This record gives sequence, structure tokens and C-alpha cells, in this order.
Amino acid sequence: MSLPRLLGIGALILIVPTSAFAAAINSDVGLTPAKDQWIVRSQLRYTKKSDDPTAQDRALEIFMMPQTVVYGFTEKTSMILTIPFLSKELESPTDGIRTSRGDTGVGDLLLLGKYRVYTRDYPAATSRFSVVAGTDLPIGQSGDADARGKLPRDLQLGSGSADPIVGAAYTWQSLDDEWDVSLTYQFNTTANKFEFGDVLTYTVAYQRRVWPIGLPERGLYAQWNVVLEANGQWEQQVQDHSRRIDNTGGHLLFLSPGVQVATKYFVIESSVQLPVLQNLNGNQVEPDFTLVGSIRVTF
Amino acid sequence: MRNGAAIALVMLGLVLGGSAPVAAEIEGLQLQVDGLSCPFCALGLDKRLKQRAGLEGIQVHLKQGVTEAALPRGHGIDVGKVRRAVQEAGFTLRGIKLTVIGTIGRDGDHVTVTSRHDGTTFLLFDAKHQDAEAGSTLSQVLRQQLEHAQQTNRLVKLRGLVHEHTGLPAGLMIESFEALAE
Repeated sequence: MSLPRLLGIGALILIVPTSAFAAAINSDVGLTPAKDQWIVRSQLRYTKKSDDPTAQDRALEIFMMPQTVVYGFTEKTSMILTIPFLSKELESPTDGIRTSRGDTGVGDLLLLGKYRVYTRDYPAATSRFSVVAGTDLPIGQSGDADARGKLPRDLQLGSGSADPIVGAAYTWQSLDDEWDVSLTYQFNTTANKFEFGDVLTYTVAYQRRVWPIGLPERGLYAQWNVVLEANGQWEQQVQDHSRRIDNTGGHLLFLSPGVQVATKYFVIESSVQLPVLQNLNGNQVEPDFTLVGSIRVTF
Repeated sequence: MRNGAAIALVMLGLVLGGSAPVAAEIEGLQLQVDGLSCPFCALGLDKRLKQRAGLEGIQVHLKQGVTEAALPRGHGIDVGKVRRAVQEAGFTLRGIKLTVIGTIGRDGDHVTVTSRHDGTTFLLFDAKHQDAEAGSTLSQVLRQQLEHAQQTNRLVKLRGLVHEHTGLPAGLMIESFEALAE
């Protein structure tokens, strides 16, 4: 799976919303504000990919800081804007010497509108279904170069193309636990005769309150949740000048345990994404893990 | 010395005057809000109730699904605005429970209570009156008690669940009744 796509998917997974509030960590289902309410989410994601099936022993490190702002126009309609800051470095052998190449800067901007189409509220519980639609806007550089010339597409910060996204999400939440299920599809388009394959992402997340064990009769409290998520992503092969490129595309599935602390004003959370299924086309460097730390505030 | 005594008297008067109890006309406001199921959800509700419905002193009790609030002194309650505020926060208002202190009156055939300071009027219903005769929303016993309070011009304290009417004042399903001392 190509690097920009992996990063893009990371950003997408972060912001694809369902409709609840405590939310999963790698599927940012918490981003449903009230009317005129703001939510700002800042994440730090570190991904290491070093499982190279070839003899090149390539290794990839990616730091990603997606900054997400959410605003509620109405109780059902909200806007989600994400700008990722990226730093990535690829180590690989060149002429027998191990060298590294990389880039740092702003990635593509992701703009989504979200509409809650179904709500069923119960005492201390809720069930909701939302749809999302938007686009990935190519503000990240897609033609950066270093001393050795233009960086490969995998190391560019942006995709170079505006890519429509649609999705849907469902949430069940109670005081004790929460289920979040979401699905998105990104239609990647062509830029400079290069087209990343379309991307399907899906998440099933379960959260369980572990503290406080017994809820206080009155007032609010800081709530600790343990989280277990399955985050999947399937990608079509890349096309360059209408020719399919080997060693691109495939299917990845991560299992992501995590922990989350939710209060009235902020949520702090952390997770590690571990690959449990790596069905990638050709010889691609497979991910080892992704570490995630995040804070959300609302006002 | 005399100046000091005078100042002390003024201070005492201010303290006593400032702390003199003023009965709120509508108090003990409790909103039963469905869908509220995590701490991070509460701020949006808090904001909307303040901004849209003008409520104060918001306290969310998550386990009970109840939000307590107060009305600014001299302000009545607009049930429609409260309902809309809860909707805008993304939740569902199941009910509003409150206590009103006021005087008994009539609106056509309906017995009403009107809070004296802010003028909010509620049509009265009896929560325990299951076998209502045609045209009657109150049990005979409660009706007599309320009529007595009206005739003697006594203040009453009623607590109950509020419901809305189209084109009419909101209704109050009485759960408790107390005639206050004259």
C-alpha cells in the first residue's frame, strides 16, 4: 500500500464520523457537535513500516499530526476539516549504501460535511446513523524534490488530486459501553496522469467503561474507557499513464486496543494499531504498528 | 463613635436585606433528557440551554438522565425554547418537571396557576386523576383544595410535569400540592 494513501487513510479514519460522542480512537466518531459547538482534535500518529519482503530491507517512518476542527451548523449538520502535518522518511539501499529520503510539511486537506439521518434516544442511551460526503483537497505538495531529484510519489506530501469521499456510520452508546461502525469510500482521481487507487475503509469499534465502576447518582465524572477497534482498509492498484502498477494496493486490517479518558471538556486517548491481516499486492513494505495519542477539546 | 455605629447599622441592614429570602416563582427545574450518555456530550447541552433557553446553573446528572437548571429571577419558562435547546444539542427532551409558586385562577373551564412575579400560567391537571369525568382534569378533592386556595387568595406551591399545548398555556400535571401559609 503506497505511503500517501496510507497517510490519507489515516486521516480519513480519524475523521470519519458516526454520531456518538465519546467515540473510537481510530475512527473519530466523537466529532458530532451541538449547534454552534466547536470540537478541536489534535493527534500524533507514528507509523513504522519495516517488514520488507524483498532483500532491500526498506524501512519507513511516518509522523503525522492531523489537526481537526468540527463545527455544528445545526444539531444534525456539521462540518469537519482536517489538515495533517507530515514527516516521513524512507531508508533504502542505493548503490550498496543505505540512504534516506523524506519530506516534511502539510498534507492534503480533508473537508467533509456530515448529516445525521437517524436518531433514537433512550434514557441514558442513544442510537444514531449518519452519512458523510466531502473531498480530499490537494494542498499538500506532490512535486517535491531533494538533491537526488524528484521524490517518488510515495514520499510526496499530497496526492495532487481532489478526491471525493462518501461514507456512513452507525453508533450505539450507553453509559456503560459503545459500538461504532463506519464505512467510507474515496474515489481517487487522476493528477498528472497518475491515479492512486480508490480506497475503502471500515471500522468496528467497541468501548467499555472501566472507571468509575459504579456511577455517581449526581453530576458528571471523568470516565475511563478501554477500547478495541478493528480498522480495515482496502485499496485499488495505482495507475500511472493508465497502466496498473505492481506492488501497490491490497488489503490491511489492524486490531487496535486503546484507552480513553472522557470528561465534560476534553477527551484524551491513546491506541496502538497492530496489523493482523496484510494482503498486499506484490512486494510492499508492510506496516509494523502505529502509535496514536490524541486530545480533543470542545467549547 | 456615632458614625461607626451608624455604619454598623447600615451594614447590618444590608446584610439582612441582602439575605432576605425571595421565593423563586418557578424553581426545582428538572429536564429529563434522553440520549445523554457520556460526559463529553454534556457541554453542548449546557451551552444550548444557556444560550437558547436562558437557563442558569445547569447541572447535568448523567446517571439519572436529568439536568437541573434555574430561571433568572423574574423570568418565566418558555417550554418550546427549552425543547428546542435540547434538540439543538442533539438530544430528546422527555419531560420537564418544576415547582411553581403562585396563585390559582381560571382560564375558561380550566383551573390555572400563575406565578406571581413572572406571570407564567399553567393549566392544571391531576396526575392521580385516572377517571376524569368529561371536562374535568382534576380530582374532586384537589379541585376543592385549589378552589379554597383561590377563594382565600393563598399562595400555592405545585410540583409536576409540564406538557405543551398548541395555542394554550402549558399544562402542569400536578404531583404535589401545598397551600402556603397566609
